Amino acid sequence: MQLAHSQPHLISRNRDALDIARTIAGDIAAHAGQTDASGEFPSASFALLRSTGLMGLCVPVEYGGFGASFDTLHDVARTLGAACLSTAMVWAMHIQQVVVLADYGSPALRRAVLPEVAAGRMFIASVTTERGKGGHIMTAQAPLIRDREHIVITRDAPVVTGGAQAEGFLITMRASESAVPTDVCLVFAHHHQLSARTESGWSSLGMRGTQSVGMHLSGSVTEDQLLAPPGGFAQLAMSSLIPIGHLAWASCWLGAAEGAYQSMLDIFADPIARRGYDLHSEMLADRIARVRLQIDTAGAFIRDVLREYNELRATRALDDPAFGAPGFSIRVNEVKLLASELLFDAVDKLIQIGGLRYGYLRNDRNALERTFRDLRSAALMYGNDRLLAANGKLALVDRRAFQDGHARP
Amino acid sequence: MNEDRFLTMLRRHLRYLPSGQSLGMSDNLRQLGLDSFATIDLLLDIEDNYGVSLSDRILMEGSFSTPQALWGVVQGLVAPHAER
Repeated sequence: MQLAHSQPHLISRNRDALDIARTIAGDIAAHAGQTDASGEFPSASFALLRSTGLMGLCVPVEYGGFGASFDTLHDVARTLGAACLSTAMVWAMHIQQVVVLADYGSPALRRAVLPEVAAGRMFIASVTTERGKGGHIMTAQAPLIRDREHIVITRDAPVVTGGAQAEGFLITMRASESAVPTDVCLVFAHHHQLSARTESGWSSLGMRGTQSVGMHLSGSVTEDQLLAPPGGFAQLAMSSLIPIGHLAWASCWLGAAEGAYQSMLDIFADPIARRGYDLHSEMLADRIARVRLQIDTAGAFIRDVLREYNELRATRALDDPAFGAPGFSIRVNEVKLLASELLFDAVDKLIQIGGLRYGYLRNDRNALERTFRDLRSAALMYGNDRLLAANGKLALVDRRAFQDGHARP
Repeated sequence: MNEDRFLTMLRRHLRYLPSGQSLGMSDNLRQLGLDSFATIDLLLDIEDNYGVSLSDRILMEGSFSTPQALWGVVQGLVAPHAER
């Protein structure tokens, strides 16, 4: 993305965004327990994200956003993830939609939507689920119907995260009534263009604040609200939607695990709170070392693929076939797989270290039990089973995987 | 090199091609259901059937866009072998 090193104003904008995130993280963390207990959308935390401009973190500067680098996205996501994972993940999904709009929206759509995002007035929810196909984004059932100059949308979606709060929706649809299910297109709709029926009933083990709702959407939009790149939806997904999604979610999970680790270290740094723990125990040392290893491994891998993605974006156009190379797809999927497995396991181990008092039980010093429940969702959302099956298949044709560094076309 | 045999193999991978409908050489394979995973299965099938090894680069070069494009690739790979 931006070559921040050579441009001081970009460095300062990136640093400002991260400073803001660190400043509001305390307030967001203070609401996290209540959000979890009530299972309500974290409205107060979102009010902060809106008023500080962080909803527009990745909106280009020309539209009034921070125009932040993806490295900054990674750090802000970690910061928010440590504070409240429900808030962070809903925000990360919004940022994912924003990047796709900035990358692939028509000029008219970008002008209409991105300044609103930057001003904190536009939260965009993603509508990809559909009955009968789950969360698989590469297919769609409900077709777009063209009615003279309008495009008509009628769409059921069983799970829309933040759907009841969003001012805009990015919706996957089948391209037309005669199109096959793999002929997917994305369409942006303003809330006011749709009549939306919402069914709530989100009652979950973790990520309780995400308030995912079932929705029935109907309405009509104009041609310039279609995201229809020449390379089709697959190219859009491989160059923008999927890498940004996996990297941003994994960064949130990383932050949550880092926060959990930090909270345990804070207890071990407090001579009173640490009574009852034997800090000289070899078993404790072994356990802490393993947790640290897992968190550092996840962080290093996320940043390695992030570097690869930044490099691709800096040297290739978005329609370049390099984004569809099997080796790159595998590694982007691995970010999600590795982070979801390692970081959940790390927090599980932290609970073993913390024991009942500062691990398993709700207490006023840390929130390991909440983070454990929250991170359990990581393997399920955009499910790991399907990603592993995909990577196994891709690996069969990525035949020079390790011959010239990472498979690069 | 038998074009009919090639098309018979190909259509097994096109889940949206109705069984009674013929497959034209310039049909859009993606529209007929050849998504990225079906493409990989097809690539392995071609290798089995023609005894050739395809480069993984072929996946990114538009070779799987139409039966015509793919047939050209297969002929190019098989012909030198046949002459030996």
